[in-house]
Amino acid sequence: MSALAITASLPAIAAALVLIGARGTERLCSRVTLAAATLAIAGVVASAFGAQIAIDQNDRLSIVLLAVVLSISAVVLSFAERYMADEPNRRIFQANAALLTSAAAWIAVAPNVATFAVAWLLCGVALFSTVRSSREGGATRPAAQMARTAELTGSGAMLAATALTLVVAGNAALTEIGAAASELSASELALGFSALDLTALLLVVATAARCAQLPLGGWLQASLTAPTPVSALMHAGVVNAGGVLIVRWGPLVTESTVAMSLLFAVAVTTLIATTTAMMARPDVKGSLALSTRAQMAFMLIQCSMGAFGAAMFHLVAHGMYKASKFLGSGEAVVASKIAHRDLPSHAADEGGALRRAVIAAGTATVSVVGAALTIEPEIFSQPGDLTLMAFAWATAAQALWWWQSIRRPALGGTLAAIAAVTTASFAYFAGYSLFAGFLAPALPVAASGVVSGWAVVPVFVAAVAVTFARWTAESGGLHEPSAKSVAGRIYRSAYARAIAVGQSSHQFASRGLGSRGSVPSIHSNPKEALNES
Amino acid sequence: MSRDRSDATDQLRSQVASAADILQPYFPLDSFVAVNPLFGMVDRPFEQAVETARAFMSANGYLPEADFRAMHADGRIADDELLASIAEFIEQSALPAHDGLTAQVLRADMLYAPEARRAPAPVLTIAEEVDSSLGTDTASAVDRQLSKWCSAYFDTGESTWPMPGRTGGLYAAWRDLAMRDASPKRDAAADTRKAARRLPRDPAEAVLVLLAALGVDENGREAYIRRTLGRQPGWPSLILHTAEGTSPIARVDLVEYVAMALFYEYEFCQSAAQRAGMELADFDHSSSALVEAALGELGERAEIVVGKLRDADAEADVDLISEILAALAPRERAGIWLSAYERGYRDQLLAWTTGEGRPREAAPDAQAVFCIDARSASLRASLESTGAYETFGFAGFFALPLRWHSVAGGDADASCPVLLDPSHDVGERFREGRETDGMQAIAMRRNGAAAGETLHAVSDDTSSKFALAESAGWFTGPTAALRTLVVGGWASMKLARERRIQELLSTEPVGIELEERVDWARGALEAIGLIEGFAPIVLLCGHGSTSENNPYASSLDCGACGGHHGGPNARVAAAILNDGAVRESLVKVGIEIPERTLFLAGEHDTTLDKVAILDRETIPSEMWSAVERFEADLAAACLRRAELRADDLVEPGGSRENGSLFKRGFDWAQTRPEWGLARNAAFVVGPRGMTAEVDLGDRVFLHSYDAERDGDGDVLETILTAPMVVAHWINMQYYCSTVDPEVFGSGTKVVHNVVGRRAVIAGPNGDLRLGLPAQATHRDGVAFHEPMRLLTAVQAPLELIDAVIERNEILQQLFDGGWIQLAARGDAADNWQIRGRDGQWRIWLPAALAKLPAEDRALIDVRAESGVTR
Repeated sequence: MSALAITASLPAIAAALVLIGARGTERLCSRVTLAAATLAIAGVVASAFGAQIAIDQNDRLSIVLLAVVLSISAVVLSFAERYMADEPNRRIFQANAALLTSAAAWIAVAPNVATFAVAWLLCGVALFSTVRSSREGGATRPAAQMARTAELTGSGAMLAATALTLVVAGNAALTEIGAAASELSASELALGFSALDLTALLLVVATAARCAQLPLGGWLQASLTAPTPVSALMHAGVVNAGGVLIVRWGPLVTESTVAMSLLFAVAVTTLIATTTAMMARPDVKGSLALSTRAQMAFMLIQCSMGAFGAAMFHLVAHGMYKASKFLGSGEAVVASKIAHRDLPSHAADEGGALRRAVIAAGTATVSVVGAALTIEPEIFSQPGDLTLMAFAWATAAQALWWWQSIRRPALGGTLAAIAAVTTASFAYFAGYSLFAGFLAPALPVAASGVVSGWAVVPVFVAAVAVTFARWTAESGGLHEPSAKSVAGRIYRSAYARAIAVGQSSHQFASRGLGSRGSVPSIHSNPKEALNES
Repeated sequence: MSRDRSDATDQLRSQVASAADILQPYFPLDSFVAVNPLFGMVDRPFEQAVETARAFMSANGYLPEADFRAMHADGRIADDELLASIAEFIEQSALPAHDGLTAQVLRADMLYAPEARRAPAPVLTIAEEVDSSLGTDTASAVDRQLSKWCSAYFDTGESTWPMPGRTGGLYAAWRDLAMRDASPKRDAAADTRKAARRLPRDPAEAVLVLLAALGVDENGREAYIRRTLGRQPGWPSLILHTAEGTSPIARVDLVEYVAMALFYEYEFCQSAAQRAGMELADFDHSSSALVEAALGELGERAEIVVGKLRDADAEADVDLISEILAALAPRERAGIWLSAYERGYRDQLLAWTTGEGRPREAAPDAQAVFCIDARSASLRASLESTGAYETFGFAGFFALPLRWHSVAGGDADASCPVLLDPSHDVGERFREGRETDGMQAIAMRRNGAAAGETLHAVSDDTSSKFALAESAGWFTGPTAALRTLVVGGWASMKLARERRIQELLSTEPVGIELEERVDWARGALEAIGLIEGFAPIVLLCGHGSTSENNPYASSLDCGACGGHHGGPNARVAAAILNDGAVRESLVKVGIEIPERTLFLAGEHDTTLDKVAILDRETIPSEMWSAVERFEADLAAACLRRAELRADDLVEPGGSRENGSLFKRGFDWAQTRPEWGLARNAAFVVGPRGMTAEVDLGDRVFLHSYDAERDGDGDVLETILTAPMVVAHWINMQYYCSTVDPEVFGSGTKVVHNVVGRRAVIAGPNGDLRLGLPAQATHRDGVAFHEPMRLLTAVQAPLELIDAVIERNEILQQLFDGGWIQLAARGDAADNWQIRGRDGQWRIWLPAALAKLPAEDRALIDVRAESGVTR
């Protein structure tokens, strides 16, 4: 066993000790995970400074992913110790979550096809046992059922793909997966489909299920019945496995045009559906869950274009982002109160909209394009990086627009904001460039099957059009169409669809008579429980 | 519209309004205010209100009988207390004593009869009937649709795509959307789009049509609507609150909600029935047969009692035992248990306060007025023990109903009890010469707030969210680690920023005319009972709390200030009383405040246990040393209170250092930053001497009162009708959230999901959750709060109290309906008397005596026998 695999297994060992009920193990899971995370981070640092401490260049992705998975879990488990101090199932939760951590970590460090598949399946099992066991009673059972349906589909596809690969190419090492890909593509099945196409399609299904893409994504929202830390773990760690799969199995997926096209189509559809739904959602966690699905779609689009460095950059940063958003999801009330207290309200049509828009778009163009070209002069030949630049531009422009609209700064404040956005743009591209450069040896080379970068243009244009519409509406230039007009009807149909995304499944437990009956009374007396048993 | 139709809809509207008596307006979490969830039914006795809530909301109104029996077994309810409550029941029901047999039989029944379990709601909607006979899920499908639309409609900024057509009102906006909403097809296999098109524009008409279609007749209408509201009480409670607001979007009528509910119910049931080859008329919604069956037969109970009675009594006639038992319906047992449960605390409090108490401090170094909030009690006691200090209790808004305009320039806060409308617009302005610094502080605040809002706008968008996560993650990730793993470090960062702002910010309150100031000053000082003997320093101390990541943060703040921090009111009050012109005018009405007396404003942070002195700039230099000494004693008192609290707050084995309590306020993983008002139990009105030598813990609302200065009872009237009602709301909020954490309370916080930025749901969807979270009332699954009704103890002539009650219907309802128990005594030398629900005063007897039959009791010398010890 490699050092990486041992580190990845530490949380599982702690979980085992907790499950056999060793005394004084209350805090074992979080502490061991924290120690493992520290080791992994040390490994990343060592590797980054050129030390070859048993870490091959090809393993850089493994160690980075390992560090991310373990650190996020360490934080979430420590958080949960206090947050769930009153929950009857807190020990079981810690153990399950630690198992889930190890399973996700094993995916990150798996050396070959077979171990990857085993880790993948274990992760699926750990996922729904965590959801189901984290709360007493029936409240989370339906969510676990949904997760199981998606997982069974995804795991079935994963098993089949693994079986095919093992039969045709043997237990190939993931670092030498290219050879396996040639063997698979050599064996033709029928109608011009090769065994590679079939394997790739199966892997895309597995990915879509794990990344909560349409039509298998409802489970991610349903699982919000579980406590907050469970969501933080799933959204920051588990869902990312799909992206890891594509990158690790590289040519097995990317050499197949049909599979990559399917991946692109699924991801684009999910991105549109979940982004609009997220904007309509009035609850914090539902909004975050839909946002995760959209972010995963974005990452898979990057994968389907062969931009693996960008996809991994996204995966790591989004993991940290989403974990902290979930853990802090209770801030919304106070944040809103503070905003109302400290920010004077402005009339929508107060003017200056054009000036704000020009400053926002202009600064974004100069700083983002400038930063991109300075740091990566070859960017126009890299469709993936170009996409990154385009979306970074949108973010910079948005940030400046809303900052000006909300804060209404004087000249000095505006200049400071411009400087901040410019600095952030350079930091962003520099960080990305470092990150992608560091990982490059471990990433697959873009292959024949990838989708053209141009395919993402309509998506980007549509997304930016909505953003501009929001600016116009905010400054009083655009009003909601009336229910009687054609536009108004289309608008309402779209809204009715968006507000229902992921909400209409009968498996959801709501607080009716039925579900209330299954929630055990919190004041049930221990003595009473004894008498009854 | 024809006259008939308009009559019919008018009648319907009034029926909906009266069906809503099971609901209370929900005060959103940005300024959470405790309410008595049953207050709409305060016109009937407590037991009856509880029964109605059980019938229409499937809510528990008492602890489970098993809990009471367990408390009897472990001594929390003494046997004497149970017997005393049984004796009271016998007396009230005028049962024959049968030589003590009656009491013994009832006792055995209380202890051993089959437990009265939670019965199903006797009133069911048709959807519920359909579900129970067909095994379908229509009722919760209806709930889900209602939750979906209500959460979208009432959102205040979480979504960036608001619900279309909101300015037209809930029903109209919903109707336009329902015509195009295909989701019921997937959710309940019913395509409702066409039917929505046929709905009348007037929601009241729609309700009439739908009720008829559902087969609900005129007589059953109100009950049916009551059950419709009670099934999912959260959203309609929010509607009740917003109906009082001013925003056009918010002003929604409950009829609109009922129309939506009935629409989905009819459509879903119709489709479920059709699939089963049945018709809606096949389902009878008026059945209630199964209710009483679950509660145990008389014969069975008699057998159990015979088995449990001592040998001698067991020979008693089984028929007689049955006859005795017949007088006690099984469901009445919970009420007797509750009364026995309350007796122990009552006896203790009244015994402890019997006697002369401590005389008033002759020449105190300082006086301090604290909020009546129960959390002040231990701080007051601690402060008094550190030196020659006198303390008072008064509502924390200091009788100043303010609309407070912060210098930051955002929305004003109504800083007063929700029972009042704020009458004064008071703001603050920078002190002279401090404008530049002040603007810098405000800029820091605004930057923080605007950064948060900008991030939200950028993250909830089609084009900008993707790269945001990629860039922000590198900062939020490490920040999350810091906040989780190094709470102390995070706390220092937060405190440093706040300290910097406070250093820069120097403001003074402005806005009340001289005449009003004088009137208020006089009224407030008289009500506090502080019109002479002023100490050199008088602290007016509000309170607030500190917590992070806590949707219920405002539930820990000052209820008298409408769920806000009490600092602004204390500042305004102190400024007025330090005002030379005001003091001059006060002399004319006989209140002479010595020139050297300084009023200080302060704010007690109940989580961190620190008292901050506000407006320090106004302290004259010659007072600095005196104030510093006082502050040192305040700090010592806070430390003492923190030590007391640690017992209940820190987990077994957890660190008990002061810092660990302190950290809770800055720990985003903490679901219980402090206990808030848990365990509140009594409201004491009288001079401080009554309670000064008693360890009350943080369980008692203490209101200063001196009957000698209140000839006509005006002050008492205010105290009983305002602060006491607020205390009662708080008390019942805790009571109800404890006895039914799932219906009246909001359940565990770990699955809470903030909706619309001002309420929570549990999990991905569902009803708005009312009341307090389980972490506020329970510890590790066991109730920490003791759910007892408020005990009010007043020191004032009984005739005066009676006169005040006579004048106020609300007080008659509260006392005679058993919502609050009233004890009183004319002065410290008198015995405590208890006001019965019949309005008669009876000498208070501890349980050991009260359990005796009436004729024996008359022979006892109460004071000698009650064994009063301190």
